[in-house]
Amino acid sequence: MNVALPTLILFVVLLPGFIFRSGLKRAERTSVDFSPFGRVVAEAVLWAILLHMAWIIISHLAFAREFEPVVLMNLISSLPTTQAGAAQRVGIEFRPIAAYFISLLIASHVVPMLIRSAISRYRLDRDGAPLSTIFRFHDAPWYYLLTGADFPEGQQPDLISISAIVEVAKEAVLYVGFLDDFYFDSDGQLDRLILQQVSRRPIANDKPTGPSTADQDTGRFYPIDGDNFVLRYSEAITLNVQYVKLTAARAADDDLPVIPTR
Amino acid sequence: MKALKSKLASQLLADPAASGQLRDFLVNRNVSDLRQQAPADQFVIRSKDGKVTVRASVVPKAKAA
Repeated sequence: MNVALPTLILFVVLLPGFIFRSGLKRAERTSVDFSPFGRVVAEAVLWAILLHMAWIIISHLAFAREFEPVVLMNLISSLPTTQAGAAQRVGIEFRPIAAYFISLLIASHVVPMLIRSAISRYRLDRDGAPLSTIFRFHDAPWYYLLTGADFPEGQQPDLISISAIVEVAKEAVLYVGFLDDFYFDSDGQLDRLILQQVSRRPIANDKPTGPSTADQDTGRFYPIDGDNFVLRYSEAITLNVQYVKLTAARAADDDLPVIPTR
Repeated sequence: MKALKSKLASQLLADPAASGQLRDFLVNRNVSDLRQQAPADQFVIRSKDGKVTVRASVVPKAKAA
């Protein structure tokens, strides 16, 4: 079997950069990353260089191992004799080299997850944060809209109310409910929303002829039975998002002025 | 992906009466000027742990907040 050893070596050397880059991004698609090829490669190579620098320093400090660039250069050389000599050196030091690359690959998978988690935890990516241009996940707009990630810590709303207009039998119908969950398709487009406590009304009922009463306003909406209402995003003509803040005040059970329920 | 929903909001949605009131508040909030009485923005959540009064308000988008 004829193996293009230099290509294989370059692949192994650059692979941690590609893994690290894809792990660091919060993207809403599961299909192929359609970012420009040049940008992908440039970012991956940059991350690979930084990761190798970090690992080489750790190897030097913790294990007194020195990086020998000549061996690497000889490995990717086109001269078979030079390559064979370098391969022999690698064979002698196979265990530490294998440990180096295995630990680097594991780290390039785990570290970005931790970084991403810390960015979200401390809201470094929220709109208006000092370093948001660096930390913001630009490929995840729905994430920011529907999880409230743009709100500062402590000022987050409690839930999201969704109003959507859907055409049913050539008639526009307004659906209102509370957002519970949302899903994306493989291209990162919003696929469906799961709503709770949904009610609906035809838009045609929006034209009152005179002053309305509370009962009339409420009566225009028809509650929809069921726990989860699935709204396909592709069928929604418009989508309105409202953030609702709830302020609680626990009171003694019997002293509480209870608002009459319907 | 799970949407934004606090523990308090989950408690409220688990109470049919309170969640119905919240829904009425949201859908009628903008038509309150057409009638005498504004929709109540305060609800009572009843659960096995007791009662909690909550006040609801619609907050602006984070950037404008």
